[in-house]
Amino acid sequence: MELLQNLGHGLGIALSPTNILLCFAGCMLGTLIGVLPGIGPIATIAILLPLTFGLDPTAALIMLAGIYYGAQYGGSTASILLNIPGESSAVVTAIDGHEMARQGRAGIALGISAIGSFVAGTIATLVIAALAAPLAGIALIFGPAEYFALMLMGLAFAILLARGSVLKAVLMILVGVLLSTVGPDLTTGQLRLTFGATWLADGIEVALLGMGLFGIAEVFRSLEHGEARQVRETQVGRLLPGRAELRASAKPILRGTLLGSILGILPGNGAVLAPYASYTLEKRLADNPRRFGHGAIEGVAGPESANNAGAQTSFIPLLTLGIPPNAVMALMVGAMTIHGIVPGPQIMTKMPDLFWGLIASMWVGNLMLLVINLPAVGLWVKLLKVPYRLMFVGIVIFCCIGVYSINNEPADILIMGALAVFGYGLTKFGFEPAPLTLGFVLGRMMEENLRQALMISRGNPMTFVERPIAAGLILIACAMLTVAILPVIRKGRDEVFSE
Amino acid sequence: MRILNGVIARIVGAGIALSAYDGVASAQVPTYPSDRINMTVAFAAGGFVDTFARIIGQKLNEKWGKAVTVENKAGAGGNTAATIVANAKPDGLTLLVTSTAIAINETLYKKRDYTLDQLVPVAIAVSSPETIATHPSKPSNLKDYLSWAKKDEITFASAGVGSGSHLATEYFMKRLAKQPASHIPFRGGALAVQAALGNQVDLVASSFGIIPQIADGKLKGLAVASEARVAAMPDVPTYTEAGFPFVAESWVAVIAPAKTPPAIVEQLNAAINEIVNEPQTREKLLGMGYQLHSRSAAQVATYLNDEVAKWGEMVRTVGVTVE
Amino acid sequence: MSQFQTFDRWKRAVRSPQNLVSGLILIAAAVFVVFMLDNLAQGTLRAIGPAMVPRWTAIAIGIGGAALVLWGFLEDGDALERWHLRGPVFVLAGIVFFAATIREPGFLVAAPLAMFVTGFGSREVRLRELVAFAVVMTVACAVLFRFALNQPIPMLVLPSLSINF
Repeated sequence: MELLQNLGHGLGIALSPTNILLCFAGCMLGTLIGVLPGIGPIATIAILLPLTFGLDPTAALIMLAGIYYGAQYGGSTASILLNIPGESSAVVTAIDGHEMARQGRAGIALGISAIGSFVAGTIATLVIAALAAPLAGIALIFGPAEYFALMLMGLAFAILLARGSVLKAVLMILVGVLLSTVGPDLTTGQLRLTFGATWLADGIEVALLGMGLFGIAEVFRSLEHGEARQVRETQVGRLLPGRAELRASAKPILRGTLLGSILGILPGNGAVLAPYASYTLEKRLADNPRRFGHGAIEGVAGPESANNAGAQTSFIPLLTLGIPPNAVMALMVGAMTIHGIVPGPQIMTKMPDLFWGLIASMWVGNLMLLVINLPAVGLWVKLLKVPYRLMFVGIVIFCCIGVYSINNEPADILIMGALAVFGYGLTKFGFEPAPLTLGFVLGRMMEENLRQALMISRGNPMTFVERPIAAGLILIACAMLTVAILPVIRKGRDEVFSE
Repeated sequence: MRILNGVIARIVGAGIALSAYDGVASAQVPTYPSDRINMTVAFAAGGFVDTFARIIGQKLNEKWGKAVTVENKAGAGGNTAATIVANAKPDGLTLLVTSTAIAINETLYKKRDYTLDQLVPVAIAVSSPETIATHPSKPSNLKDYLSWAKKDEITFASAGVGSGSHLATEYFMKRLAKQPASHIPFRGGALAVQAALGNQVDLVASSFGIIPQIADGKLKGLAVASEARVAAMPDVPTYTEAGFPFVAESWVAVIAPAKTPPAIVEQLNAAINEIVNEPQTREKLLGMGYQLHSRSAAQVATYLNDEVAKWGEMVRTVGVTVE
Repeated sequence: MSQFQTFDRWKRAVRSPQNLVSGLILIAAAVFVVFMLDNLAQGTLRAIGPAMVPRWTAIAIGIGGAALVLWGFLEDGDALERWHLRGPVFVLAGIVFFAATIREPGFLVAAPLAMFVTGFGSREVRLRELVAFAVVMTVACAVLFRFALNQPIPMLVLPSLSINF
């Protein structure tokens, strides 16, 4: 009852005309800028931050939340339409989402992504409102040993992510892990695999990986075929998902929401796993896993919901513990600081208006996304009518600008080019870049947590067995591996998974 | 409106510039800033250094009617940005915003592409003392804690190798407390604080990032390395009070290329001090646990020199270097 | 003559050239990485050194590569695919031009130049259309990033004419 009262109070604040307008403006601008290739949520928030300077703290936070959701959704739009994922979560969306776009179902993919995000956002908002405080305590059980086990489990997921051979998927994960070790070593500060190049001295940005391996490499592939590839130009198809598609997506959306909500709570950026976990789960549960990677709507609905739910619940560690779980949240802390708010345990009791107003505005923000984006789907899809001979030029230049704006470093643009050639080569040899990306994202965290766990346990590897949660997660990882490898051993897997 | 103001400022500025040629001596450089100011932040968007730059940038823009861009140039522990500003045109339009790292790196890094001589500090107006804290289940004052810990090597978490928190704490343990302690680096202060909240490590070392948790009782503050207690956590004693005279603070510095005209440095110094002391900004910064300092440009230069020596001593004691 | 015969026999023995070649590349990469890590410490379990994770990852990649090579002889698989060079060459050239000119002389030169070069990556390139597109996009991006979003992208930097915009 108290929950409803609080939420009502929050809605009262969030639904004031000014705040609705600000939320709307934030979502709109966030989407418009987030859709530009290479400009992810972090850049979008940093760019739009000055707009909130003049506002009172609550209004500013509401607008920022709008910008954040808008930017997230804008990123998905770019990866569905053009296969340019700007961050690791959008990589998963791109697998089936872009495939759908190529089949002329871009509108449906965009629509289901908006609907799934809204449902996930609604449920996750309720989770935060009801359970923020108790859940925060659970999150603290996770220490380095548990995170290591979780990341290991995530890598086991990645094997199932691939369409083709298990061996090749494992190799791609390992290459991703290896790439993630480039740069300064966290524990000693020594440089690894940088070949003395200053532009490698801080490692490789994940956005470069997304734009190189996917965005530009996709341009290379498309150029092979000339305009003949332009199915999308002639046939755009129905704009919004129909009843059958909604029915097929309902359960994936709910499962994705559940996964995302749980993983988002972990302060060590567990949310990055959410879309991958959801994709794997849907592929496992599907009657015909072969559809995945060829435009399966569940492969968009599930991960998009998981991503949005995770994005939402990652506010929990921020608001209850004062711990920003990822770079976006760290930026939100910065934004709050500018307005004189110190996110932390006291925020809920000391500033109830702000706390409940923010939570209610999360939901309003998600609603805005739906309101803005369902009508906009038609507009986005029209973008695909630009002839490809010009479109790819636009993609390339936006990627260049996007990469440059991350760190104002021209060498980053060259790294993107090199990664693009690498990505093009991968497909020529029958490898897929998606497991590589996950290996890259999880590899660094896995290594760091492994080393921290062993330092804390004073070199005793039994720490991974003695701690029940860590042991449980490792067990699941082993089970996953067995599931993936057994059919190969029995020679049956190729018929199940490969085409 | 802002554009209009800018245009007016430009016209007025041009007028003053012309009149300056009439031989009227002036303490200020009337044409500064003649154009957009670029603040190069040595760290990624989101940390306090970045936030501080954005606050200052916004206020300078309001004050002088010129656009101020904030450019994040993270890399090599802050050295990338320092190198860029060291080689920039000394017209006061390119400024470096960085942290204690600029003092630490003088000793920590074997190789840098700039020297401190190429830079002149403009303002160091906010600081936050290095603080150590522990899980509430452990002894809650420094003396009890040390006698409890004597039994065994303790683990302490910090934001990374060579961070101010790491150096100050390891120096304290090694030199002052003579307590064996093994450092566990995390990627950023937030994750280090999390490890302490979950009682995964014995101790966490951090500066301002730890204040909300201490204020709320989720962590127990053992000591702050400042001259006086911090207003936002009045219950935490200073190291000196706890019997170990030791001061180590992390701060944010605004720095310009060395050859920047002194008048511009003075003008910026005055403006930044004024901004920090505006009642509203002041209140926000104090509420977050920052300490404010109004130092003149000359005082800032002396302070920076002292800090280089002080952190250098800590780096050498801890015995860590970075390539 | 016999050389050709052995070559021919080898060629017939290879049942999946794609796996064979990719396996060999991976082995080479793994050896290279292990070699490059030579100067870094492996550490102990208590204090894992900087080399441990990358080294063992590379070794695992090498073993996997060897398995792929073996696979290439054992099981039928795909042939090597043709690389189409036109697209990648022009796009990469555009990217390199952009990287080389963005700082100086700046975006107003870098963007149209990069777009003009990139455009030739498509066989259907139409010169006049491409030029118009490049100009319009340059202006649009300049307005968007520099003026609407206040991003620090250098627009026109010509030190000799002391233009720094």
